[in-house]
Amino acid sequence: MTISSQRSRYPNWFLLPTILVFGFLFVIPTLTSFYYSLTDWNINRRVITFIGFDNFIELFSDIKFRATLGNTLTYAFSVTFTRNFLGLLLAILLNIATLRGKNLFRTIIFLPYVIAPVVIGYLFTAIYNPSQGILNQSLRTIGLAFLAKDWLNDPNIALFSTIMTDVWRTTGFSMVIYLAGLQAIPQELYESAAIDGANGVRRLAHITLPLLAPSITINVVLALIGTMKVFVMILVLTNGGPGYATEVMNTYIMSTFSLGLYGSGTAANIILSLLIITIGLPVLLLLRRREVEL
Amino acid sequence: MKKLISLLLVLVIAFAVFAAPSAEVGPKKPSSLTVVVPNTTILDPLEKIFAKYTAEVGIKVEIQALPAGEEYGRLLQTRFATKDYPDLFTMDPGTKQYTKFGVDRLLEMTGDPLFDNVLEASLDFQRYQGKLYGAPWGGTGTYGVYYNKDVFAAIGAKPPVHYADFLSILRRAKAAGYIPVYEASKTEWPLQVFSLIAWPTFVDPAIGDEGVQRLEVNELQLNQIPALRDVFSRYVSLRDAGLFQSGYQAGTYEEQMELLATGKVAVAFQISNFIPSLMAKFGQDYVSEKIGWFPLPSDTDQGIAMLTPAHQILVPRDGKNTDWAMDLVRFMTKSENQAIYFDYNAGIPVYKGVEKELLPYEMDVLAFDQAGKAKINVQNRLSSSFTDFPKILQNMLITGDVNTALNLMDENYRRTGKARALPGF
Repeated sequence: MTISSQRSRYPNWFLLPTILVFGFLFVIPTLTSFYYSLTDWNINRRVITFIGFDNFIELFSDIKFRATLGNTLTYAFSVTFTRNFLGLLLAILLNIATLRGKNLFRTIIFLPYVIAPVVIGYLFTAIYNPSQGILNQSLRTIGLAFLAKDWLNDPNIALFSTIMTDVWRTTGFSMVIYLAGLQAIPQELYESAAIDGANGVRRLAHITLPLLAPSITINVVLALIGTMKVFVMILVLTNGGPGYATEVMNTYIMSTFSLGLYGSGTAANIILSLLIITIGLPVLLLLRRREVEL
Repeated sequence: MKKLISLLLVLVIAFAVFAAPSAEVGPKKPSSLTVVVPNTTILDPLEKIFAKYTAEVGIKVEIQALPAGEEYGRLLQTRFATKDYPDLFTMDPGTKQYTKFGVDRLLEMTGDPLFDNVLEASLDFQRYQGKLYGAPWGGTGTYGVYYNKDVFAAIGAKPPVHYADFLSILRRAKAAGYIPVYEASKTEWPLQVFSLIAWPTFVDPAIGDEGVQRLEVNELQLNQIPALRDVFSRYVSLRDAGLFQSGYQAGTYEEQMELLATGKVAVAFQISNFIPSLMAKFGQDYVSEKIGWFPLPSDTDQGIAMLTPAHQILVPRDGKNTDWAMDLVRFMTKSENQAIYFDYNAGIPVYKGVEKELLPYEMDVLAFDQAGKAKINVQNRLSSSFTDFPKILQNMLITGDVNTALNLMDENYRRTGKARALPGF
């Protein structure tokens, strides 16, 4: 029996329930949201009027929205780069066969990822407290009082503080994916390279990184998409403040919807979706092409 | 015969069903009602009033306290949008609350007997197109500059006679080691107070009632009012002069209360609800003795006091128990229950027959009012809103950019008016 005849034993209508559920709960709402973004739909209007691209024009002329876009991109690229760099580093370290207690370290590093972001947000609100927080208290204790800051209320560093919190939370997840990738690399390749006289750096550059390319792809793409959609962490830590220093797309969208400006909020949501596609898709294609080349 | 017996039986059953006791006729009595209030509300008087209501009527009343400030309105709007109506809720004064939720979504109360007991003047800012949608709740209050009398005594200061005097007092307080002004920047909503109390003193004289009316119909833009730009500049200059507490971006309402009451802070720009919160913590005698009030002075005199009308109780028109909700509103606004409210709260009563001994600062407010030197909060004179105002001011204090703040304020005001389909927007 050929593979194709095996597949034909499952009729296409098996797909129908999935298509229906997906269609009603995702496709139709997504398509209608495109329409609503072109209307003046708000909490006070009983009749919805088509207004073309007015919502989009209004959004891009809004200083706050432009600041929000900038913050979202800064947040997304910073967290993606840092958590992948640290995740890879930790994965390589914790993949050393002779390292004692590596399972314990892996568990400890992965642990923050299983804690709800809202809990982490509250936890770090306490940690970052300028007078009583453990971070500033520790810095003062070890003689680094000059480094003690008002981490969440100083507009110059508030975004950095939220980025670091998310890096702390998600590095373990990246590390686990890299670990899985590392463990799939055949040891014979390293042995062969060692016989050929390759040092650690060359083995990393010519064996580890090329064979980790699929893990890098999945980690980078997931991180980029996830961080562009960041919401809870920012809401709990800073609520977008001080001022607009940490306002991101989803907190902006939430406040627009809360004001009852549904058309405008939907338009902002469409922009976020397009942003994710515009950035996520080329990155994915680039990394996949690189996988093939390597 | 058989048919006749059957017919009689049907008639007897029908009579038994429709001739039930009168108490059972009308809307079905719910087992409980839900009342939503901001979480800055002092709950003791409400709990007492609702316990009385439960004892008399047999309906339990559940209080839901939601985060105060702009978030409160937003959460309620979201509940309206999802048809998750509370039975009734308290709200800031003014007709803009009606336009915020939509007048066709609120129960009209015009002509209800409860208004027979209300002082007519207090309804002036509550009628929208001649109709009433809210029952006054609480008393007339004031926003203003609250000061610690001990601190003022220590630096030899009295309530300022003009703005330069006010600045001089703040500088003397700083020189003496006190925090001149504590701003609750982290809490956000208190940041609005300076601009709002400055409006009657600086903006109203410049644009007059006619100017406010032009704002109401969108014939005047907020960013075209030089006096408002001047108010924002004065606010930023307080920051620039180092007259706020250090690390003011982390300032909270709770700390502001604590430090003002304990004599670490000279002044705080606050609303009158500040006083009952202080009284709950430090006692009425202590607060009466230690805390004073004055309006923001002008360049030439003591300035104009800013009054806030009583809050209001609103009932969603499509709520499940509107008749019983109105029954509770009437109960809450009875004179004896208003008296319970004022056992715990500040303000000047708006219901007839409610006796209350005014606090010293309320006497001062009354003196300004009687001298014709008081104006109602501009927010309560307009049907659109200064949306996102605290965030705009928070950002202005970070950047010092007055023009951007004014433009954002104006943009949001007109955007909100347009969204509410107000005439002229």
